Amino acid sequence: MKKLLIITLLTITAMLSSCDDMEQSVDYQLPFVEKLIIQGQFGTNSQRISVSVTKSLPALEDVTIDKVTIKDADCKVYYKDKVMNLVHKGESIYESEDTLTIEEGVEYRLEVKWKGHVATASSTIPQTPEVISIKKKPVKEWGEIYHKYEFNLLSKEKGMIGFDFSGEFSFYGDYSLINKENTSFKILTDRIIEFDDFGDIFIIQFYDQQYYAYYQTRYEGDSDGGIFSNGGLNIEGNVKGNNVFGVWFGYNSFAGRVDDYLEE
Amino acid sequence: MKYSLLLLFILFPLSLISEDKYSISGIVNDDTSKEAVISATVALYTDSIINKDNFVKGAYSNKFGFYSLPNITNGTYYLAVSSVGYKLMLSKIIVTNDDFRRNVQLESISVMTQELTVTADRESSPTSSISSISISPSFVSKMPAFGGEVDIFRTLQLLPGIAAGSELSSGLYVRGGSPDQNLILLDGVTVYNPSHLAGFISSFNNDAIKDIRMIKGAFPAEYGGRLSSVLDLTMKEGRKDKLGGKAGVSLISSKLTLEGPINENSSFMISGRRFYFDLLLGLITNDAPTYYFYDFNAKANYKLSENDVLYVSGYLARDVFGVNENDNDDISVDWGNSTANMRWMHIVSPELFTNFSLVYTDYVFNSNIGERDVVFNTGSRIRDIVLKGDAQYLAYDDHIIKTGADITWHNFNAKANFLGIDEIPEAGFLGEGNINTFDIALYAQDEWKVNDRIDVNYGLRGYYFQQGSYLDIEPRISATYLLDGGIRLKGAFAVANQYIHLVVRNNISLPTDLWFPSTENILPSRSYQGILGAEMNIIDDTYLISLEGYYKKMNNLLEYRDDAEFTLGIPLEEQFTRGDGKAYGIEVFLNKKIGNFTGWIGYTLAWTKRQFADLNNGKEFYPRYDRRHDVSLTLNYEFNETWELGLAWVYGTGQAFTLPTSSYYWQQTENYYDEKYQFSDRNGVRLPAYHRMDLNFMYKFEAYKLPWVLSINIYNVYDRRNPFAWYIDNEYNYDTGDYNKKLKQITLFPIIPTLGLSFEF
Repeated sequence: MKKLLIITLLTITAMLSSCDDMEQSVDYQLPFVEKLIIQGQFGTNSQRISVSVTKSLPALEDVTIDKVTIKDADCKVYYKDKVMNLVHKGESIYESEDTLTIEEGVEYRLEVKWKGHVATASSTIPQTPEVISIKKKPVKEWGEIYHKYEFNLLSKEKGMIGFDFSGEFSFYGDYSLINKENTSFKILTDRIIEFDDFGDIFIIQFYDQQYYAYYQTRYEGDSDGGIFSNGGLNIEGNVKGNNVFGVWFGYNSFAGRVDDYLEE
Repeated sequence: MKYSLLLLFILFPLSLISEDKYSISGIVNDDTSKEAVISATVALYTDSIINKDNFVKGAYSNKFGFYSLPNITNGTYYLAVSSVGYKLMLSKIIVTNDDFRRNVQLESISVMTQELTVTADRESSPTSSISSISISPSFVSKMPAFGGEVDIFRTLQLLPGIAAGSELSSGLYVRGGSPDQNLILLDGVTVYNPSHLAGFISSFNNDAIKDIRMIKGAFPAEYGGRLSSVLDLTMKEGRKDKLGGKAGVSLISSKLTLEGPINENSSFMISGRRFYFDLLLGLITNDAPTYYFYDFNAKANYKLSENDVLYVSGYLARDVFGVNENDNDDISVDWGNSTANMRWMHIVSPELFTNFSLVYTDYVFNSNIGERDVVFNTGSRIRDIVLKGDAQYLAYDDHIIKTGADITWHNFNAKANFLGIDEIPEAGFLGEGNINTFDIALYAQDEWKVNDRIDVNYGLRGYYFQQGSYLDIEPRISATYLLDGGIRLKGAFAVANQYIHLVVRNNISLPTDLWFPSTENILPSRSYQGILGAEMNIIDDTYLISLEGYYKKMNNLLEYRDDAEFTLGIPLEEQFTRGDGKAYGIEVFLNKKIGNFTGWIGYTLAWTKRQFADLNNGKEFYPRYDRRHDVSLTLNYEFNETWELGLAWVYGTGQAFTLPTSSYYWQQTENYYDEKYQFSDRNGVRLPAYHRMDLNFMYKFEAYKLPWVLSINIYNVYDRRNPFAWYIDNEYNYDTGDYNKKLKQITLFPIIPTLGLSFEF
């Protein structure tokens, strides 16, 4: 609606402007601040830790992986009382050479140094909520009967929860923020699920709660910001430091059989 | 009302104490049209050679033209009445053991030939000049007008301290406040969303307006309900001598005003305007969307007696928009205001002036989108019924006491419906939201002339807003001190609350934006304003030079959250975030009101800031309309009886804007990489400066025994390509087959010459 009103307004404007070209190229150097860009996540099922390290370019420059790749960053992960070096493995990826067992409840602290930039971030994998029971709930939408599943859970730590199901016909769902510890709660999966049979598996993805801000803003930074809006918005990351930006998160997974928890 | 009566009860006996003193009172009118003259200077002298030595006392006429000079002893006096645009009127008065009633008819003259001669000590209230200016509609009509469409708001944007949000908007951003923070009154009636064309043109027809008064801040207690400023418009009453009018055509609209007597005790004015761009567009293509607007103003008055006048006025403005995609699928949107006001002016005695109003206002927005049988309908509506009474007590030489009360019933309605489909089971989440609430306001203020040098206006305004049970008291004070040499120092302080908010989703206010009342969760916005300044008349009082500094702090401002979801079923209240704002600056104003040229130069140095915990990472940011430097020049020059020139030039620091400052490579999902932009802080980059000159050549001639004016308007005379917005475009290069990023600028208006024609009869 607003777009249409604006388009009409602009049409009238264009008419009043004697069909003059309203759009011109501008020769102007936009302010540029080079940033170190970090992107990494790790789960209890990972055997190595890896992170992508790149740099930003001026806004008007075309971005290619070659131009943004940084090959000489000093990249380390600190956990417990250990330090692990991540080495450049090609393109933007830095990875631990040795395998390790990633544990929940342990803080993994990342430090990346490159040409005066120092980026730091830390993440602790939270303990997955306990599944107490699952209830099958019929939902009528657009004249059809579907099912949603209500998970009765007991949170142990704060975090962000999402569900995956195998063998399903589903709509995409959302993640939810769990911001209370040791509390029982119910989540009705946004996914509308139609199982082939009851032998299906559900997977709970449980992220460090810092992930929520990123999840909410993950599609930002895509456009030119919109000339009629308050401008573009940025993805929210958790990497700290001067002129650095990025995300560094740990996550936990839990898989179970729906049948085992189904409440009649 | 109870309080007003109580006050009158207290004050009445005081006026009876001095029995050997009488009052001279009356109404000041234009001698031709018989319209009341507002803010005319009325001064009483003991001799026909008027000067300070034989000056007795002075007053000024109110919005109804009424004046009163109390406590006059028996004797012979000379009453001098004058106003800008009128000849000085001097008449002899003999007071003998009774109150004296003298209605005065002022003869209008060109301001070109006018000289100021009356120097009353109370030439309009000195405190009323703080952050305030009156502009005559005739001056507005001479200013260059876009498309030939004279616009009061666009002229007000040329005053220091008032910024334009963008070239597209006629909204008034007064001293760092947003347009919804302006109390816009038409004959005392609050008007919501007073604009056409989604904010491009204000919905007030200049031909129907008699008086325009803008108060930019720290307004007196008689006004309230908004944080920043007051625009007080008074409609013409209708001339009483003969049937007359004005008609005009411009590039985009036509208008007609008719006014005249109904009988010897009553007159009327009716004015209408229709935007006909749709008709012109229809000649070219059938595919263009339909868009037009119209507005009507009407007013009638009936003189019941010497002391009673009944006014009935109405205002209707509508915008209609439609897209006929094909036979089945179309869109229609309409919105607009209507107001009705019945006002009774009653002069109880020469010392007590009252007026009472019953007001109805209705702002409505409706949209229908869909196919022939299935229509998605949304709408919002605000309806107010107001009962209002004001009294002015004029029994004292040194005090003018004003008091009043009003009660307003508000109905806010928002709805969303699917019409014609029953088979959608979740249609139940749509529906209708209704909020009924009321507020009560009481005020009392005293314009106190402490001595020859000091004037003070102090008052209190009390508010009760039922939704949320908010009860607030707002102190207001302003004072002036006259130094030797005619320099007047001035200062003011005011607290104001706002209980009804317009939360704008983007920087262009559209009719889809909803007005939202305060609730238990949405606290009223509050402002604290302080003003200090000085002003003086120079060069034989033909120029006024004024310097003002202001500081305004605003709490509980509302904005949409960055992650606001505009999905039906999600309460709007949850989409808001609350924050604070501040604005401060200095304004310099040089105004010439009479002589062979009139106009002003204004300069503003200002800062406007906002801070919201949920926006811009909690950091302070400038709203898009923040202007560090703002210069405006207006000029009206009468070359001779045939040619006249109106000129306006504006310069403003570039808009604060959000732009990408870098781009980076980002893994969106497991196997998908994307290019992303890293944006500056909210509005963290400045666009280039905005400047523009507009001219209006007026050629006056006579045809068919009627006076005609041909207006040749040239918008953006030197064709400045002002930036409306910048964005990055991925432009396809047909030669290389590649996409290249380019910084693009949108410019709205190049040089645009237009013609307008009007005549009076």
